[in-house]
Amino acid sequence: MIFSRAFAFLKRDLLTAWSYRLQFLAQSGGIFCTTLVFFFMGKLISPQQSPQLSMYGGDYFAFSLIGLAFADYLMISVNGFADEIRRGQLQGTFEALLTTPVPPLAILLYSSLYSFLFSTLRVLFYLGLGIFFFDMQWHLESPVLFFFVFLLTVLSFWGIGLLSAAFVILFKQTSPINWVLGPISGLLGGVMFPVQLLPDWLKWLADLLPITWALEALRLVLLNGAVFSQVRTECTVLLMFATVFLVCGIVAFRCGLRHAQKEGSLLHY
Amino acid sequence: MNTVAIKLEGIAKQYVPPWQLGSLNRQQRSVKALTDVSLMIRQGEICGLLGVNGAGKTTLIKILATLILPDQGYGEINGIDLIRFPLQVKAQIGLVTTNDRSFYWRLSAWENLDFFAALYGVESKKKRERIGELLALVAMEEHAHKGFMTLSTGQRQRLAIARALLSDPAVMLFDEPTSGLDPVAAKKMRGFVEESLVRHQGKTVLWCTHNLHEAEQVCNRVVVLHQGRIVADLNHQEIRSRMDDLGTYRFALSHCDSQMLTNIGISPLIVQKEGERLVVTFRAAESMVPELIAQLTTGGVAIFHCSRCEEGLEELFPLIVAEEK
Repeated sequence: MIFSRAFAFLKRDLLTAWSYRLQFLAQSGGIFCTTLVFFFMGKLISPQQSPQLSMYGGDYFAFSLIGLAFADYLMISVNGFADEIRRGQLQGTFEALLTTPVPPLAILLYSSLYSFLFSTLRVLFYLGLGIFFFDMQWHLESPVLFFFVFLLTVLSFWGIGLLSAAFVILFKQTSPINWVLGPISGLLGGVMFPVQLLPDWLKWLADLLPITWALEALRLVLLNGAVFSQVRTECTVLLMFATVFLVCGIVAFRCGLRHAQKEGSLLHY
Repeated sequence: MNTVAIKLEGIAKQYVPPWQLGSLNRQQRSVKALTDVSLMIRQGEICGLLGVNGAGKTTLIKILATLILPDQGYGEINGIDLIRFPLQVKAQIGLVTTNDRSFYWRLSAWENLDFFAALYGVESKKKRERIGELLALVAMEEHAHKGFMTLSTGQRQRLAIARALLSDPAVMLFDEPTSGLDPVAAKKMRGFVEESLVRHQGKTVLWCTHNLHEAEQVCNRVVVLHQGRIVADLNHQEIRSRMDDLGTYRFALSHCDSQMLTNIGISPLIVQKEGERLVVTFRAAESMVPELIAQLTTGGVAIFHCSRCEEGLEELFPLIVAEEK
């Protein structure tokens, strides 16, 4: 039942996306251009110019490509759930979904599957382009560890996404988490440059963001061939983030849903 | 069949507006949507839920569909508690609304049903057969692969019925399903529900409408909701017998105004000025009409014309509400 429902949501979103073919193709073209931009930027920045890059293999192109690719997951997690609700409320499909015998939380997760799948394809595309066409250097020692770090990353992002979704259900507006967390993570999370470059007074703020730890661990695992003992701290912090955000997110989402059902505003926008 | 399909006891719902700066008393601004609504609908019944706009019909339907939580009261569908087990209840009901935005416009009719069939838990192997069956039932086979956005309003409504039937629910909730349909399509839809869903499949139907004529035609029982309360619960015979006991009479009067009528102790239901004349509507037993005429003429009122009105539920509705009050 879970798989057939998940497949149904995937199929729905794929068919919808395919009905806008031009946008679909433009997105793929966009990925190629972005990769090209970072390839040339990478040529400008040598490891000698930036010693902070040395712990990630010294290649700025690989560093930024991973930052860019995995920051995508943060954005789709934070925006995805909330956007799905908002879109459903505005289009009127939310009511139809909620009248089916599928738990609302599951509806939300299923709905974001396509974005996650598309994002994964985008990440693979980024990395594939980097590796096969632009000679990106990578060194993965333990694929299992990579998937473990990736799972922790996604779970902590999902928790934030659920908090954001609860906000949309309650206040019928785009969640402030979206417009605060996005730019702050971009600036402080080490997406485009190493966190070590930040002044000390900003570093502690960067440490409060799950993306900082996620990108650090993912880069070490993907580019340096790090093993578990080398990313233990990052994994522990990510596990804590995932637990706290997921619990808070699920509680907030359920409370928000119940409140909206009591208020009769579940389908308002 | 005597099994209870829908049971509501003392359901109340009040909408409290969101907090706003400068208007502190939310309670005062709140709206009572439903007050002490108790209702029992047996399996295989087509029950009409009748009321003007704002009577509380949609709130009641949404409570039954578990989209809104009541403030008070208890409700069950096929013996399952609405509040405690919403997912199990959802598996028992099919909701049909007029909202055509509840479909995915970029998908075809078939693709829409295919998606919702998975959500309703229709087995993958049987899905194709079930969708085909339902499309045939609502006469939509030839439009199956057309984009939803290209379908007419009537076709969309039929598709909404097909979607509600995907899980073969025992209870169907229709929220003003014919609004937006032309009279021919509306008649077809009523016929389909009555004949196919209730007579052949034995489903229970709650048909929510503000169209009195429609309720009279399609339902074998009518519950009248007024300002959030059930003010009447009638079967067809009861409605008819009320119509037979009392009649509605229209008098066109000249040399008369409302004050004059008050002075001679007559209080009509409706008073309208039509040119020089005053047209008044009374509700009275036939035997009382000569007395009424005598009272008017003795009071100096000239009767220009008098007739008995033909009555449908439309005319009866304000009277039912007034009498129950």
